[in-house]
Amino acid sequence: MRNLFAEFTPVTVHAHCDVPCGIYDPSGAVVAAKTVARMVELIGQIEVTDNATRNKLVRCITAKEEHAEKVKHEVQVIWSDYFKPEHLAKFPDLHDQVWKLLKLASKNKQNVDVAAAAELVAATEAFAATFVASKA
Amino acid sequence: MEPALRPGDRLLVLPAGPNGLPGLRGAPPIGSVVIVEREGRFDVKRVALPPAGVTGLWLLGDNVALSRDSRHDGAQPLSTLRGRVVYRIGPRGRRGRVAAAR
Repeated sequence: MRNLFAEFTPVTVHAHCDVPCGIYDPSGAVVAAKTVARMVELIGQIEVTDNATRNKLVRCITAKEEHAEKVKHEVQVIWSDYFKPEHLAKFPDLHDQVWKLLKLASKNKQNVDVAAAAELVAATEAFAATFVASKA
Repeated sequence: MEPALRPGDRLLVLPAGPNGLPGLRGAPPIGSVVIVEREGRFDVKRVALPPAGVTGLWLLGDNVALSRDSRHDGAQPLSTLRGRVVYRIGPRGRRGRVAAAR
């Protein structure tokens, strides 16, 4: 009997991929979008009078562009890796939603536009809402 | 593979596939839960009906939203089949047959 049980050596089987998958979170994109909006606000307030204020302005512009790029990256990862054909059936406008959001992020990277920044925050929050709804 | 299987479940697997038990050497039935070996790793998935024109094992995870399966990497050859899951040995409260779906 002991020999029989020895035959049954347990091995581990996996139901998911090598890296812990299914860990997706749109909150990074939302925070990045809000950062863009805040930087646009700050850029509008800075008056360049000396090196210190110029430095501050450049830092804000850099942060704005970095975070606009981050919005694009975070959204693209969730879009390409998390969303499946089944989700698309439930949210048929997903591709359009993402496409417009990415374009909006690019627009915010290039420009200093309060209205566009507000649109970016709203669009990113809408994308996050789609993500949450897809898990329901 | 939730909810049929959960992390930590202990499974009784019958050897299947080309080198398996005599009755289990052919293609496993649609709906059965199987083990395939890929790059030295054992994966557990459910056998589904392949899309038209596709041959081999079309494997889908039960947890459709999160599973990474044949939708991403296509059909797997029958030669990768290692076993068929027939019984959940433990944990104690979850003991029971692992049924084929529909």
